[in-house]
Amino acid sequence: MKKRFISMFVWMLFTAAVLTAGGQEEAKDEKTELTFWHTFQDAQQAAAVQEIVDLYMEKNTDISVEVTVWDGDQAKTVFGPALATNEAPDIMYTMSNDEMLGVFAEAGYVIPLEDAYEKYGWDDILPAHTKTSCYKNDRLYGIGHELDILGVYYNKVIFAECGLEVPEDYDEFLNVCEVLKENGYIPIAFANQNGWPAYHQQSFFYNNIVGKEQLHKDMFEAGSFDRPEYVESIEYFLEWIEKDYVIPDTLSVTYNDGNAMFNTGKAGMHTTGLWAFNSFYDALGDDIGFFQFPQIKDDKPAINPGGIGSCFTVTSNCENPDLAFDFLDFLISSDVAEIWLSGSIIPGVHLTDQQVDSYAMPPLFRDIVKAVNSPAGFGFNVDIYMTAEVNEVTLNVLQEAIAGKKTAEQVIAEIDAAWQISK
Amino acid sequence: MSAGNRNPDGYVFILPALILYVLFMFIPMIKTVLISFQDWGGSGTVKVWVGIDNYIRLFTDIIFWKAFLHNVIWVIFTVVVPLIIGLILANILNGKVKAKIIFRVTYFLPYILSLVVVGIVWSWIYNPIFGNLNSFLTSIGLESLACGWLGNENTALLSLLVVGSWTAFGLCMVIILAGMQSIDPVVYEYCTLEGGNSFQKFFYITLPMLKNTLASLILFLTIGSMRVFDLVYIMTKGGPYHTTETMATYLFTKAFRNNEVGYGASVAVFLTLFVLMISFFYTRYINKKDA
Amino acid sequence: MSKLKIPTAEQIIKYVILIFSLFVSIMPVLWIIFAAFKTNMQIYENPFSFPPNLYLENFKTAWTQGRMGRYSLNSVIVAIPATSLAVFTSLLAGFGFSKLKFYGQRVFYFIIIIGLMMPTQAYIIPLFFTVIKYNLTNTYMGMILPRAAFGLPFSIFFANSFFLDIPDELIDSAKMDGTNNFQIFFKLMLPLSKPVVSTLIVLNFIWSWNELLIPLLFVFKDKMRTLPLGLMYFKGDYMIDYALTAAAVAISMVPIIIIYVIFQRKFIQGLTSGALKG
Repeated sequence: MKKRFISMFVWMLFTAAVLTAGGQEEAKDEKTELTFWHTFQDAQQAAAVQEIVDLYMEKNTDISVEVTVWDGDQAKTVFGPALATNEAPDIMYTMSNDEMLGVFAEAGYVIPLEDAYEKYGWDDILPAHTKTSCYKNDRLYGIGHELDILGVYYNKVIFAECGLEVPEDYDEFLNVCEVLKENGYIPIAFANQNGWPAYHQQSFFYNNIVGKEQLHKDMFEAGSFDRPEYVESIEYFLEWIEKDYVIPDTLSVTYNDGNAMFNTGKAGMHTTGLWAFNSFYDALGDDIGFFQFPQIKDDKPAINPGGIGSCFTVTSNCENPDLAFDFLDFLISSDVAEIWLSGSIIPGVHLTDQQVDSYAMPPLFRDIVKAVNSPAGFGFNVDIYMTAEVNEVTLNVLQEAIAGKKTAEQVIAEIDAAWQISK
Repeated sequence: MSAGNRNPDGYVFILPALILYVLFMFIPMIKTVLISFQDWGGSGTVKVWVGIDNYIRLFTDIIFWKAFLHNVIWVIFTVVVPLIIGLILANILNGKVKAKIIFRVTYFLPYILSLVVVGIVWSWIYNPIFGNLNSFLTSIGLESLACGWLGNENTALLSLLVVGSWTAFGLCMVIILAGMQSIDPVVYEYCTLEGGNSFQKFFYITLPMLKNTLASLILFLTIGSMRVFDLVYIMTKGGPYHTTETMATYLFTKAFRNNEVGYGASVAVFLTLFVLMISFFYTRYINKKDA
Repeated sequence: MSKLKIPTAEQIIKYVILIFSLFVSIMPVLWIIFAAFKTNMQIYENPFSFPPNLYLENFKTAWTQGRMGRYSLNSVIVAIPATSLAVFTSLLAGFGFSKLKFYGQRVFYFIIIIGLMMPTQAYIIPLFFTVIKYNLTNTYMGMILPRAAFGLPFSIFFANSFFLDIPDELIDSAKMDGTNNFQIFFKLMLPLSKPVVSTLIVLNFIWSWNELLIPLLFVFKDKMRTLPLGLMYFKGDYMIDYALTAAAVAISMVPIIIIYVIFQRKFIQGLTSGALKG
């Protein structure tokens, strides 16, 4: 009996100790502090960011920057509410879409940056397209970063084995798929349990069939998706499913598992973006190649969706915005471009081919960086610019189409309906 | 209750618990009801009173009713199946069995595991590429049955229901067994003397005498099934395209992902009222039968 | 009567059912534990099997780099106070409701019992914004207090049922001796309530240990995460290290399993005595 009370008493003591000790203790430094949250969760990427931050602190010894790395998924749920507390960071790296930056801007959690742009001359070093998605209600709230390009990664060894060459147009692309399939490989490592990989496939087809110009009009000038070209795009996409060119049971396979299929040499191609580059390269090294999505229509040049997805923002919680701007100026300058590139992140700052050639990086990555920096540019990554409602509908309706429950017409009808309501 | 004068001491005893409860549960409950009459985008945005608009939207929201249906299916499946398995196992263990304690301890194990753990473990089992289930089916020649369990609308919900039942059957067994063990063995002996066999004993003695235990168990499981969230969220997030959506996951998505807090709150209120209603009528029904 | 050496058909069937159910209960858990001791290659080759050799790297990595050590610590720091608070306050309240008389007693009890019916989702939304407003996010308090509160309806109900069964005469005679209610509670009731205490402690501890929703919403700093949350986000970056994840899962499971095995007899006793009252 006594034992029980003693143990209970110990528990109580422990409880009391914890309750009175409080949460965390923050060491108070003499230095001015900046807090910086980002979502570069990949180990290599996070290391690159930290290297840049350390460099900044070396140059500015009276400033200390506290970095917090976030899981991208949790960030979606939590960044918003976090901004309402006094724990909000000074600088936040966030997605520039409607659900994140749009909400933050409307709630007044982030401050406009037009003056900073002018003061630091960011317009001179950053291409105009890095700003497009950062405008909300005609005010500019973010500095676009992390250029991405969606394209086709392919396994050179498998291609050689099957006697295949990089396709020059879409018909050849389909042929490549067919040959891969015959040889027992998965042609395209597309896995859609998460739902969002389908966005990217949709973007490929929209840009190449509808064309960048029309797409621009419909997205930014509040047009309509109710056009035959959009329906055609979806049909082209669904053709992959019908012909079994993707991972079997694609709706049950997670994006990670899909990558695993590519990385273990089971799939010939993977149509996705740069964010997973490190995992491909670590697994397959120079056995991977990259090519742009092939031309589909004679009158529409081949173009890959790309651009920025996320941006740096300064929150209204920041006590010292000028300091934040100074830090950001350093972060996006070409001085540190090489460090970003070492983490396989393409910074927004414009780079010449010579600069790119001078940096150390895998040759494959170099090709991609040059492609991104080329004047031809890239197409739109549709889901970045769409509203939350449209994205939600798109995700579900594409899954239904993949399962054969909806036709391309139905898909477009539903997406357009959501767009008309929410634009 | 001892006859005596009313004593303010009572307040002191209940105060700590009451404060905690009111602060962290009761007041939020009231607030939820209030929010359900508003249109709110979350922190920092403006709250707008919209009266019963959210509820009107609720009644015509197909996805919500799909979620509701899934909850009903969930209740039926994950109450009936564990209960039956629990009855069978408890009945066996009530007799002469060796090493009872090993069985008792292991059957209950799935119930105490964190649902995150359960979700991860079973996601592996269901994995279409290297999961145990498909490997097993292939190895015994039933390769045609192997499919993408969690991504196929025809199998997703069922796959989750199996997991739900897996976590609960041990609980049922343990509670039913305890109930059985409180039945006086004399009654069984009398039945044997009268020439009764195992079946009759079970259906005419055991079951009726377990009525209260079963009733409580059914209510407990039902409430749990109406509220199910963790398992679904971890394994499918309500997908593919809402075929495993439940009211709780829908509520969560609306309030915390889509920034439609008011609407999410209305789902919460509906869910609560529904559970209250079921509990109320069920308890009345059980008590009536007793009288 | 001597036992027959040859089992009857009925007996065989019984044992088959029992053992099959045993297999079903425990195999999923065992598979993960086995996987934790293998390398990824070994898992790939043979997912079901017993590990060929006990590969410990996964555990080491999970504990340190994977921060499972940190998450476990956080889970402990949250679970113990939450459990103590919940159990102690509900014993007090249970006694108050069952043995004492005061105005509004029924009303208060009813208000608390509603909490049994309410799904968590009914109150989690405003609670989320309240926690944010009072800056309780990323604090231990922010996890302990709500978690303790959530355990109250059932714990109070349970304690109340138990105390109701204690004969009033016991208390009356103590009162005649002149002891006040507080002394009665601490000296008489608590010692008697051993069965319920075990059950309530184990239950509340398990609930707290397995709690996902609270940390999911109230904690976003990695160093404050508890096990279920840490586990949920335990993924490689665009690649899954299955062996590592298995080790993390194993680490999450072991404490609960140990506590359960130690306390299971008292725990089930207490649980079922309460359940029989309905």
